Amino acid sequence: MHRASLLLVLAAVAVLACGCSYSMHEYQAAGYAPATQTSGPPRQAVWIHSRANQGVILGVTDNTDYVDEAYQRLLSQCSGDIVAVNTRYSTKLGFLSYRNTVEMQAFCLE
Amino acid sequence: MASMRRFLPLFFLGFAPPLVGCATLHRAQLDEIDGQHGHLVPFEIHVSETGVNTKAVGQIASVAMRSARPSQLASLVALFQFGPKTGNVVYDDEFADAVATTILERCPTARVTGLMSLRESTNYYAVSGEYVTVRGYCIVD
Amino acid sequence: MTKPIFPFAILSALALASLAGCTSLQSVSVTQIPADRSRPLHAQVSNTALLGIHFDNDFIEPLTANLMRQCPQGRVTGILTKQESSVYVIIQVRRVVATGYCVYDPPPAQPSEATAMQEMH
Repeated sequence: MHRASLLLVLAAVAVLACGCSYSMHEYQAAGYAPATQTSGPPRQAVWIHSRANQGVILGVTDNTDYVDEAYQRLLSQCSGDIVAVNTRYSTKLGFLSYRNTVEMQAFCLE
Repeated sequence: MASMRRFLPLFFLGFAPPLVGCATLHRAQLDEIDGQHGHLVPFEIHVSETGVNTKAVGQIASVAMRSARPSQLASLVALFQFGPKTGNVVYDDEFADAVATTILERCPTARVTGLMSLRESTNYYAVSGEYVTVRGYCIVD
Repeated sequence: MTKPIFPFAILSALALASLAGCTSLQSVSVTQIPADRSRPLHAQVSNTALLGIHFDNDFIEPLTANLMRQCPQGRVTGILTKQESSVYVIIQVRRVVATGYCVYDPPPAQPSEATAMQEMH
């Protein structure tokens, strides 16, 4: 009975481990001061958000272009100053493959 | 034999630190610090998620059941957790996404400076606490 | 008796894949981004080592100077910094890439001569 319950726990862990395992590498909050027009009345801020992924099989890849992609997608959403940039870098783990994700949230000041 | 018994408590004391967890700092980043525009009021935001070390769980189960099968099963599960890892595996990678809005709750004027972003973990062998800590200052007139 | 080709095919595929290398992102950071993005900047430094044995981190030092050289007497902002690591069998390449924008702040407003004349009266 004891062995059966332990095996059940292990089977539950195995089920949980497949398909929804992640590794959280880094989170950065920075850049809350505007790059230009640093004085004057407060400006209206709008949340903008971008995300880019890279699928990798067996760890073979030769670039990190998904980071630049997320950055450019963020820039394309705002023609004004972009402040309060929060960047998350994580990986969704899988069977002999994984998916890297960079997600950026920021404020657009028009 | 008597001298061995005297040193036995010291031997077990050596394992005491793992009982309270091993702390690891994976990443640290510091943003600009502007002290020219007002009084700085510190704040700290701390979010966490439970991490699991599948191989360690398998090893513990193998010792408990006196069988190699749990370790073998854990090794099989590890194939489904392939990829770069920082700390232990978590089951939700969005646990830190609320930090952005929480910073604005702490500083409603959005005048924030001196942000330090940390990625840490505290390891308790089979499980761990995976943390994101953000410390900063609100600029107050 | 013919030799089995299936293991050879797998080994060949793995060898070809290893030539592409294993590139991973170690760290990424972003600062505030300006509205004026007409002057993009780019700088990159790298360091190669056998078996991943590096004896110092001095390769990073020229990075800031490279960016500043592209923006004389300006301000470098909107910096995206990526730290990467690539492994090609027994060779490891560390790379730091920084992209940003160069902005020139408007000069501070000068006091008008009319004001000075009014003060004299």
